[in-house]
Amino acid sequence: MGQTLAVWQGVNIVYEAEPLLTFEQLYAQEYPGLIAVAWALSGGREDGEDLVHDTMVQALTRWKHVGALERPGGWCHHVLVNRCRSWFRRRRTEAGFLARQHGRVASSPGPSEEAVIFWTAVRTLPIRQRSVVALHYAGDLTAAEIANVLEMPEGTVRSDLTRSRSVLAGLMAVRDV
Amino acid sequence: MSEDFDIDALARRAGAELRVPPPDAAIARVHHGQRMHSRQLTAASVVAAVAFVGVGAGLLWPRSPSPLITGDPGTTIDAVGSSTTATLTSSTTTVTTPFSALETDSSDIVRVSRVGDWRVLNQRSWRAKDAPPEAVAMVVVKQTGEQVPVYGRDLPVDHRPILVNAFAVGLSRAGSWLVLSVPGEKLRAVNVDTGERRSLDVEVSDKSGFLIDSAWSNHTVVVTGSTRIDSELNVIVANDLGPEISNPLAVWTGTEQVAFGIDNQADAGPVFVPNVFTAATGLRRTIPRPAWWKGTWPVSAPHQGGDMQFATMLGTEALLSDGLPGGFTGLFNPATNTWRQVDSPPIPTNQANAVDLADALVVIRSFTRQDGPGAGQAVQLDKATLKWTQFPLALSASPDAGLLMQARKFGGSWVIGQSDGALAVVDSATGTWHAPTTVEQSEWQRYEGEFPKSALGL
Repeated sequence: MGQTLAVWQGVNIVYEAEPLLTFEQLYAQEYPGLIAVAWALSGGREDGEDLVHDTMVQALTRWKHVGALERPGGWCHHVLVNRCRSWFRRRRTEAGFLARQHGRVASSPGPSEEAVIFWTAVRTLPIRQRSVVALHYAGDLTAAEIANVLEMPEGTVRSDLTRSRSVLAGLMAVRDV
Repeated sequence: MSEDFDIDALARRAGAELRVPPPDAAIARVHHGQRMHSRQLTAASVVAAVAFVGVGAGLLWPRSPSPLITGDPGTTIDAVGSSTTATLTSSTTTVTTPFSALETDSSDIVRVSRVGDWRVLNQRSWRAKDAPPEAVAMVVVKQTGEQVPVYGRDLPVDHRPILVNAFAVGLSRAGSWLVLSVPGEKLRAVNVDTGERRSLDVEVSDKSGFLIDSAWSNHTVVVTGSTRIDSELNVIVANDLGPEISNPLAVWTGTEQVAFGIDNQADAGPVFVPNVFTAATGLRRTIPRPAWWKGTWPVSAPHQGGDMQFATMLGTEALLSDGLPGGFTGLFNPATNTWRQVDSPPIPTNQANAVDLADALVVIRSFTRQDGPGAGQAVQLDKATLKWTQFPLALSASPDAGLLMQARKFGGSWVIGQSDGALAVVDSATGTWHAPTTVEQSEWQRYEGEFPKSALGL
């Protein structure tokens, strides 16, 4: 095992002669979680794919650095969540167009209605809680891993999850009425 | 708690449904993108994005073809689009422009913007990654009706991956030159009068290609933070390139660009990096962070980061806000290099669209139809008193309501256009909403430049 020589944004940087895994292995391993988080936060699979693509290009470009991290998947999630946040701003400009294409979107297999409603409700949460819920339920990350990705105390992650669940339960109940 | 248990189980099911394997060839696309990125990094100057002229500046390539004309706010131009033609009508002239010169299939005009006396039409076909490169095109239409293709037809095939990331294309006018930026490429300049083309020694990174809020003045284009292009196309690079910032917001004072953003690459974590770029000198100076600065992200370092929602000039000062009650809202005066505190909006205005009207700033919390009815709200900031007022009602009860993109004051009413074409009208004095009148609809159509949807095949 390599020696931890530095910490970057809460992620231990371990310098190794060789990366612990190849980029292709990281890609295959992390893609399902990353696309789920991006999909959940952006609301669209295609947007999610673009966000993951850009994240992975960035990872590959810096592979010497990223591949040497103890948890390169955490780095990818960190970058992805930041990209999702920037995406919200760009989306404002794009929205005028997107609204017009409803009903014209190419059909493709998507999540169930229940899942769509749930993630729609999640996107009404404040950005931090939204990110925590997406990373936990879509990205399948533990509270400790989320704390690392979002650079916040684990206790805050847990309280965000508890509060978010309560809010979401209320929202889902309203929709069921 | 049973409620928690139920929602937890539902959430896990909903999350599992989104975890899908990568599509075929996705990783090849990543490798291709990385090669393009590496090519960019070999250039000496990787700088931020170029200026863009026009309100709501970002030109985002949409996902599928559909005619969309965004009129130029503040002008009387009526723009009409279809898959093959565009008609530009002002009070004195009407110009219809066929797009046969572009030789594209399924092409649509996705945006019309005004640069000086020109109308710049952006045209695209299907999603860029699936489209031939010439399907993404830009053409300038002069007042005479003459068309000048400025981008798209001469793209080599291997630029296709770059176009995947070409979400933002900025352009601005410097003299007779139209300067364009595409993320991942060198700045291009096209002389619209002579047809001469030049490649400028300025590259735009993928990341900074999303910076759509640079500024311009007279014959100088300011490329965010570090570079300017004068009317002779001289590239002047400041010594201090500074950090690349994310979540950028910027405003133009007339002589300076005030930029706010976050440096995510700082060793100590995300840092709020406000700065001012002076076009005349090409130099940038850091703005002092006010003592009452309050960041919202990340929570572990609330004094550092911050997710600003909107920035706009109010007189000689730049208003910056995170849009949160109790959050950070302030006015920065570039002349004195000082801040003064302003009340925060009374309701959260995240994902807000700030519309600067004559006597007030209207901040509309954008919403989508997926958010459900009544999700959109608005507040206004009285420019004289700097006091916020919340509109008493949600903007729309329509389940089909879309994002709110633009607003304009007609008489005593504010007419707010939704992206699905519906209008929301509020009496600015009482804050009460009413259905748009015929006059308001007519005025809006002139302003927005929208052609009847039926004519667009919608």
